[in-house]
Amino acid sequence: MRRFFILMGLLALLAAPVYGEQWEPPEAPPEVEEYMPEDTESFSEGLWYVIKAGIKTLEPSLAEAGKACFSVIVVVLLLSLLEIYTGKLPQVTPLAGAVMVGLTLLAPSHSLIGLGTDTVRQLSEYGKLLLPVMSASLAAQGGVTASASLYAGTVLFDAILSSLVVKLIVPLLYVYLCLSIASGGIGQQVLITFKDFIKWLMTWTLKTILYVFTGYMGITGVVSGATDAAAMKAAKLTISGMVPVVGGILSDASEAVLVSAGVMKNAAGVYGLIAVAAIWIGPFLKIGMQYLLLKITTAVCSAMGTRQVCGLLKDFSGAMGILLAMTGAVGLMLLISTVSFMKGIG
Amino acid sequence: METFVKAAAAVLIAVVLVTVLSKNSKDMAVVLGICVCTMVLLAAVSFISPVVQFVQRLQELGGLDNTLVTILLKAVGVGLISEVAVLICGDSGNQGMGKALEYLASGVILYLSIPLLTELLELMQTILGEI
Repeated sequence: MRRFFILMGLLALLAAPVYGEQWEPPEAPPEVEEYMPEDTESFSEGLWYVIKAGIKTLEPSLAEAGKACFSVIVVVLLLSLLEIYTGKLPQVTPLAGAVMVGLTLLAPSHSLIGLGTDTVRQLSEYGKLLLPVMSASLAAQGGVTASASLYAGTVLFDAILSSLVVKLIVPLLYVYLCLSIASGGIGQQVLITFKDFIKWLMTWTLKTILYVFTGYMGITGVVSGATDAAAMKAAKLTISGMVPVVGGILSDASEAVLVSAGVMKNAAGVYGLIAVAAIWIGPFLKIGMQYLLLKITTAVCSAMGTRQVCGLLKDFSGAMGILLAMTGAVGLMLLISTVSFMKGIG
Repeated sequence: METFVKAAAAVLIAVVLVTVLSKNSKDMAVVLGICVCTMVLLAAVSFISPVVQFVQRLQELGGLDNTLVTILLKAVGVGLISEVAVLICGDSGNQGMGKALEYLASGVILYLSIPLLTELLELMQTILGEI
């Protein structure tokens, strides 16, 4: 009887309280709520919903961009009409053309540059909320080394790219537009050379950062993932070998806990990916549409316009292309980071 | 079309007359040349009016600044007139006067360009002010 009571007492001591951990992804900003689907369990369905919502909001921007491009075509038509009549243009005509095109395209370009800069800031701020959650959930899954190194790399590159975008690329974009209008009007070779150099500098900066970031994430994910996988395997073998009788059961139970942590991490990651897409899709489509319309306008105007004015149009569409690349680079970086965390160990 | 054919015929006849006159009376040949050029340019004005109206319509459609289009048209007009006048001077053997007229036309076009250059500078200031 005494042994029975001792056994019951020992069993009561084993009834310890158990706590669970849950990682909630940060809510998407209120401005992008219209793009977020209600159900975020399926990534493909969520992404498709975001894309459709993004396309629906394009209509007013399309009308505005179309009007600006139509004005540009009218300017080029006017200049080509005068060229037909006079046979050769007086020197003032390319200057007038550059001023008229510059005045027409400046306002929409400025608002899109502002939109692109705001999007970069929003993505960076959302990343600061999302990545700690992903890092903690990866660490809970057993990827301690991977989570630390991936998090450190992502934060570093995000800080570098965001600072470069706001302090270097956007000001250079305005200088580029300025030089394009001046070279379109006056046509001096030194202005054209300087303008081309600035364009090269902006594209080189974006490409280099993205290449280095992608290489770092790929290598870090493989190396630290392998380290964590080896450490986990060693720990499981130790548990099952060292603990008598119930070692195998404990090892299997710990694996179940890690798998559950992985499921939660992936759920948070899918929501994060959809939220990033929701922040990014609207501005990206608006800038992309302006870029496309300018390309079409340049193609139409090259059939009837002067070389200088068509060159100016090409420069404006080039500026939109760089803006698109800048916004895309920041969004892509955050997506790659989230996927790297979701990939986990091994 | 009829006006153009008549004008072309008149010019060709004037060319023959000028060629004949220039052997005996060069000054009369110059005067005849100036008169024919003036009449052809006046005939051209009647064709320019619908073009100017079309340009104004384009300006309204595109929402373009009226000042800029006016400057453009004035500059084209100055360029056209100076070109014809310089060529007449060349025909009469007065290249010096033609060159002087050319410089004057360039100066006038530069003068007309000042508002455009001002507009260009203000545009660049606006762009750089956004930085």
